[in-house]
Amino acid sequence: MSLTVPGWLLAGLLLSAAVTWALRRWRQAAAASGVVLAGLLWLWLRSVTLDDQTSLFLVYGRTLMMTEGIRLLFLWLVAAAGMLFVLSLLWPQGRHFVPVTLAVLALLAVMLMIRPFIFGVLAWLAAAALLAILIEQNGQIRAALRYLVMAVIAGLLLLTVDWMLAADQAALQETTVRLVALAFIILMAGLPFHIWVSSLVMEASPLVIAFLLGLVQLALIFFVYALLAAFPWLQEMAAFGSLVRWSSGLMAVTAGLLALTAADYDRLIGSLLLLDMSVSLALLLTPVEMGWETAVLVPIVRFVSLLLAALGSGGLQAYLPAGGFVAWRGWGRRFPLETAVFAFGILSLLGLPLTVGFSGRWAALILIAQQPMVGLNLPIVLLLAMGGGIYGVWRGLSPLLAKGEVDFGDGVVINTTRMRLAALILGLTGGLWLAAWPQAALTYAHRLANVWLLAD
Amino acid sequence: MPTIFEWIDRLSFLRGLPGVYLLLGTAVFIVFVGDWRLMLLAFAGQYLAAGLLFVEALDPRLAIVKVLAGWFVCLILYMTGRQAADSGGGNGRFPVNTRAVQITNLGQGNKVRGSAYRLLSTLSFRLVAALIILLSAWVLAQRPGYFLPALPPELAYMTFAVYGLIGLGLLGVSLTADPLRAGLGVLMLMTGFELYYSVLEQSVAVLALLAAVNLILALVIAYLTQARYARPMLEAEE
Repeated sequence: MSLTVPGWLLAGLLLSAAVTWALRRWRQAAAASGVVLAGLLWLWLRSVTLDDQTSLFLVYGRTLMMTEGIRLLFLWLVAAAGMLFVLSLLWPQGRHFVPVTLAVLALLAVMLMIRPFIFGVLAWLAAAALLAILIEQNGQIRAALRYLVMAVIAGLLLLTVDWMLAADQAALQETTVRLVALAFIILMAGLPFHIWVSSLVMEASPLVIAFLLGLVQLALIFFVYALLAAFPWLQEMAAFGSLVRWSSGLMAVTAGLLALTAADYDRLIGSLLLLDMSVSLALLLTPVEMGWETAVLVPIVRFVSLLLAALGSGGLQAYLPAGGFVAWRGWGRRFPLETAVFAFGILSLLGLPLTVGFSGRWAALILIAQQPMVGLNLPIVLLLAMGGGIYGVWRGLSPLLAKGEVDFGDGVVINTTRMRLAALILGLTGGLWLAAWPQAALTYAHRLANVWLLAD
Repeated sequence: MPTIFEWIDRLSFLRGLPGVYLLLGTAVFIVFVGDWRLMLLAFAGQYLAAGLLFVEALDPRLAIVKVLAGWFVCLILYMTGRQAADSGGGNGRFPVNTRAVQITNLGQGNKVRGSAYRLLSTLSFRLVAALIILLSAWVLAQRPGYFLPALPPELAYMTFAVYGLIGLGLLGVSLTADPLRAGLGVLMLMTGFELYYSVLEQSVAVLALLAAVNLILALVIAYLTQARYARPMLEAEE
């Protein structure tokens, strides 16, 4: 059995995970080797060409198939994971961060490449279990448990759906559609299955949040749309639209209310994330060939926004005692660069104009409003929820930018290294560039969507 | 040495509805008992009862593999429980960042001692909630509209087992912040699902991968339990 491109990708990711696992006691060495290995994988993935022979890999009679769309997706996933590892050099993460991230990427690769679909779901269940390890931090396990439970329920529903789709019985169609919608709503944290998102923001490290809600969600969107493209009648059934519409609408309302009442940055970011994910969910109401491009764009810009927020908050939280908005009074003036990056990140997450997140939000709102079965109600609800988010962000940022005495507390040493400073400047410049030229992200999403649709 | 088939013959009095009652009885016991050792003992019994129900849908040799995988899960969790108890999980010591409200929820405060073992002080609430779930599962299992698709009529009693076990698993997860206890809820949910799925899908590869997923889940639950109770002690030692 000779290795072809899918096999080499898996072997590369698993080997990288093993190497960094062996180095996990030395966190900087693990992070540095993660950066190098991710870079090598990216270069290799960029250079490979796919044809009928090299794109297929057989394992115990099951086929792993690498399409051009999946190759492009993994170019992004591996590059983005490399960026996270670079940041983990500057702001050290837990000892499992690098190896588990790489192992999750390997399982996501299996999930997307393997045929039949049922094995992809099983790979997802294993990936979700590893993600729980990644989420846990300092003995706080509430978010990890919640995520694990939700992911397992969604996975089990998809296993049942797989059998129902294969059975192809008219009597089961209605049940299949309801189960599919339910599974997708759970995977995208739709109401009432959103309970893990706020816990995640409170407990997990900012880099893990960016990985989970930016990169893993993007892979899941690929998975979800692959199923919808293979069985287009699922989206056409009224029950699907109804469940998704109600869930995304209520999720947006909840997010808006939570943003209005947020008293600290964790809760504020959690509510903005919910709002963004309600947009992702609402995009399931658009036909695959229309909504696919925007559905890809939204998690890509979400990742960039979360990365910026993580960069800024990583700089600030190194010194900051726990507390609500008031505890940050005056910090913006003391640390202007960190504050600028952090503020730009959360404004992007909100999707305001002149930020990175605007391109995705605007395209999504326009597209959703154009759907005859949706009408204007859902876009109006999303806009109102954004209003709640704007008020929440204003409440959050005003004490940060206000004048005030900064209390560092006992034993805090101010230590902004040159490397951290460079990362902050680079992050802010990159963010501003992406905000000024949104076509960079749009073009990538367009290419990814088109290649995927053509390949599959 | 008796063969698998002889063992199944000897336990034939537990097949069918009696097996369902044993399965759900152990699930109710897990939901309300406070001591982790009794919980795991009941959990091992639950895998045996599930194995007897699996025999109805699968080749007995595959069913026994499922029981063995389940017992292996119990072994992993027993070792974890032992280590967590040794390093303070059972003695009221918690990670440094645990908030007061979590200590109240997790600690000795909500347990009462009864002989050498502990019972949860929310026992009556848990029992009532478990009974409501069992009643709902039974009512649903009687209604044709809620029969599980593709389940042969002679296995109709499995509907009660599947609904009941999934419901009790979810109850177990929702009533606690303790990773070991919540983890057993997740595994019960998996077992409930697998009882149904084994009727639908009998491919050996899928069954093997499901067993592997169960083992991965057990390892993750073990990790989270260690992270919750044992790791601060280890880090202090380092």
